[in-house]
Amino acid sequence: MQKLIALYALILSLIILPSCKDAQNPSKETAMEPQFGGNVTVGISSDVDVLNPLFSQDIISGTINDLIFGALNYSEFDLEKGELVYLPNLANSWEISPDNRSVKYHLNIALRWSDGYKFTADDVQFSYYLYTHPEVGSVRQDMTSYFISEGKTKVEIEKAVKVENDSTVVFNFNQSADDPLFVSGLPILPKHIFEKIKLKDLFVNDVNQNPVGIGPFKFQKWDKQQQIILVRNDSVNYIKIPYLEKLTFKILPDYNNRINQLKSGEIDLAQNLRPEDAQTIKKDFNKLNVEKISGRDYDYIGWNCIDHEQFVNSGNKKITPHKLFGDSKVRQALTYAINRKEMLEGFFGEFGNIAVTPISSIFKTKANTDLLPYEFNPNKAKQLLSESGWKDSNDDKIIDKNGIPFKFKLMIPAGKPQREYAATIIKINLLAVGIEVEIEVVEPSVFFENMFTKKYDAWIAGWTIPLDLDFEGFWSSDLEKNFFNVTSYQNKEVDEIFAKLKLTNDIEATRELLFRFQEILHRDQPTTFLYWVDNLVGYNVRLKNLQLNPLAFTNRAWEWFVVSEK
Amino acid sequence: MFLRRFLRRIFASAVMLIALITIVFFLVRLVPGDPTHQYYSPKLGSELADRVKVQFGLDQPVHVQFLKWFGNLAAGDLGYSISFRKPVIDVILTALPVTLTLAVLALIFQMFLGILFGTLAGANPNSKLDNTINIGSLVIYCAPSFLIGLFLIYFGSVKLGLFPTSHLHSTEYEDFSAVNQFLDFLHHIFLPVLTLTITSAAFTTRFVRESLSNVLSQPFITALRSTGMGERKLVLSHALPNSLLPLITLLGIEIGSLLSGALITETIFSLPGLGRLTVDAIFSRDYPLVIGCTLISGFLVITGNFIADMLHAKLDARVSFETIG
Repeated sequence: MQKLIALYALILSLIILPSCKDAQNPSKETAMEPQFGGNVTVGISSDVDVLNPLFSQDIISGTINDLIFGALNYSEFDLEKGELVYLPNLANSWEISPDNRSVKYHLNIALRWSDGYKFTADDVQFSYYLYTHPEVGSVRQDMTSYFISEGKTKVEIEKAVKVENDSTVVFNFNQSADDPLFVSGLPILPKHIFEKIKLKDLFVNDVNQNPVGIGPFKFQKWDKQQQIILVRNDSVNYIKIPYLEKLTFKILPDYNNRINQLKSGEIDLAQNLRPEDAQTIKKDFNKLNVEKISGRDYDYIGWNCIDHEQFVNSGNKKITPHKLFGDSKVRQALTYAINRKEMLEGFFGEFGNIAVTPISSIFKTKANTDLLPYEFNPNKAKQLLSESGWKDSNDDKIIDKNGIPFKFKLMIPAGKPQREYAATIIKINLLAVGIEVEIEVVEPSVFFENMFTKKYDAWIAGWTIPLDLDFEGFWSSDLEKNFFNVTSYQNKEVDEIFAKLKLTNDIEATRELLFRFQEILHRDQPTTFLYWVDNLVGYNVRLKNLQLNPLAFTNRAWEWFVVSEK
Repeated sequence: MFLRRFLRRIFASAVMLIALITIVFFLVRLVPGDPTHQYYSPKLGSELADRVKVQFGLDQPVHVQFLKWFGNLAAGDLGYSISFRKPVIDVILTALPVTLTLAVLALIFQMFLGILFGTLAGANPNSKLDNTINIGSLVIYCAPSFLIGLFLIYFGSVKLGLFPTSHLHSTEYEDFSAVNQFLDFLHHIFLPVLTLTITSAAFTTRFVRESLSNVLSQPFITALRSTGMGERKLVLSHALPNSLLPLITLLGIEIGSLLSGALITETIFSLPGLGRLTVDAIFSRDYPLVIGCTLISGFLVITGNFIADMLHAKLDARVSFETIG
């Protein structure tokens, strides 16, 4: 048996150990003239769901849809300014009314759909008719809550998206929109194709697999579970004609396979590399480079603030504080007791940052940088716990209060090694202050069902933060309405902040409100914010002009070009 | 008489398949998780998810869904896949040929290699050759197939650069001539088939070896040997054919293990087959697709066993239809 184990170890080490080359970082790119032509292959971890922005859910589908379909404006995150900026796209220009209640777009009607049909203002109105119609059931419907509507659900499309003439469309909102360009920036769909399909059949129609759009790339082919091929869209009078001839998304579910193909040159780009691979690649492969996208994703420990059982048994009425985590002082103590620096250094190396609030530092004007992370301080944690009445009264090394020992299960969804690593550190750290933690890894579907129904006491998960920084669904007190408020945190002042944010579009006032919101969360610690996870993108250096953006790694993919290898 | 027994056997197979479907149908719904989770949103809450549930009939009680599903099955309708937004049958029909190609090729090679090495070992009991084959096949049989797959990728693709590591075709496949398309396909499928073949061949080798040495120790062999018949003729013409009969039963069982082996192979080599489809469907709780996949793979396994039993009964006079029921 031991021999067998030794054999496995040998085989494994052969597979894992990378072939060592001269350590040399890729030389800094010199300015290079872009050239037309060339194919680029991107490795992705799973197949896309649908190629239709009405229904696409996962991030990679959205990314590919954005290359095939265009919106009236093109948005990207300006890292200098720390906010979203908008550039002309299907519309050449626009005017926003001073009260933020309407936007007038002037369309570029010289454009044509990839099947040759003319692009008109009717396409815009019809697209929003589909996005807002309850019978379609678009997943983007939540972005149209500002649109003028009769009653609660049905949007009055003629008024909300008014066609003035062939090239002019006006969006009208029933209140001042936080970001009018964001809500009017959904991908536009071809009316001449969609009007032929019954609304209720859209969900399962073939059109979801064969998109026609106006984007920098044209859809060519989708081999399920294999690849999606896009080709340059040069058939239209379009400002974004790509340099690349062909852009292929190759579906490679096995992580090691993706990395191997990146190393062998079979694919040119892969994202979400593990930190250890990013380091090896940077060191040992001079034809590969790694860059990171920061500030969108964080991991946290959720503490259930209320007693879930009593809440459910009382018909979602009775709010009683959770017996362990109901007290904010206890939650502060838990954050003090956990060594987040060790998690970062041990797992992420140079890739990642400690998280303090749900707004990362890439939002330069909105992140409250006055708030410092809770330091790792077990003594402070013990003191806070003892002030809240948690003491080891029976000398079993576990603190207790009213006869209840401080023990709980920490749940984590399977599949993210970083969370298992963090959980181990948490278990050790908390034991040092007299708290016993049992870690349980759960299959993701089961995990998320229980997390959303608030059955867990404590768990580790992550969020991707919305770029419009609208946090109401995550943190406001109405537990029945906002089931994304998974910790059941309730605070009146936070609710007031959300109400005020809706009424103002003054930049300074918005900033102050968001600063106060972060202060309150920082004080109450309904979750222990762990770290911001960098998306590590590895790519072949033959691929030039990559412009990674928190919005997407394919940002400005029409500007990508390749140079032939020497 | 034969026909009646044949029909009885078919009936038993159908009952087995229905039982399997029923169990899986209720089982997947007992597991926590919800295929419409992805439709939750911070602004709409569960509104959209609820609508999708209605669209796919998931809001109804499970037994109603079950009866409906069976009613539709009679009309040849397996329902819609939630994640693919396509009829389940279409989704399965694109995946099935991949898995069948893999399994059939692997089955042929596995039988060939298994019988070859099994005979070599069994005909020379306790020789060096026998020991080597024995130990070799044991080690390979114990090794998980994902490890063999990774091992082959490492040497075949990464180290030697001889074979592609994934997919069925090259990206430029469509520009190739018909001959080159076929060669490209063979080039791509070589490592996956090898991965699948190796583990099963190890098992067949051991099976044939044991069976052959059993036959060789039987009195009729001793009798034949005493007539002065050459050892080679003795093994190839008399012992081997007799020892291969039980292999036919094994063949039926092998279809099941090849299907499950294909799952791992398909994931490692990124092939769009039925195994990977089933697992993806389970993880995303795509109930109609899970049931569809179960039905098809259940059908394949049961049919495989059925055919193997029939063959066995035809070829071996000692086994009658009575005994296999």
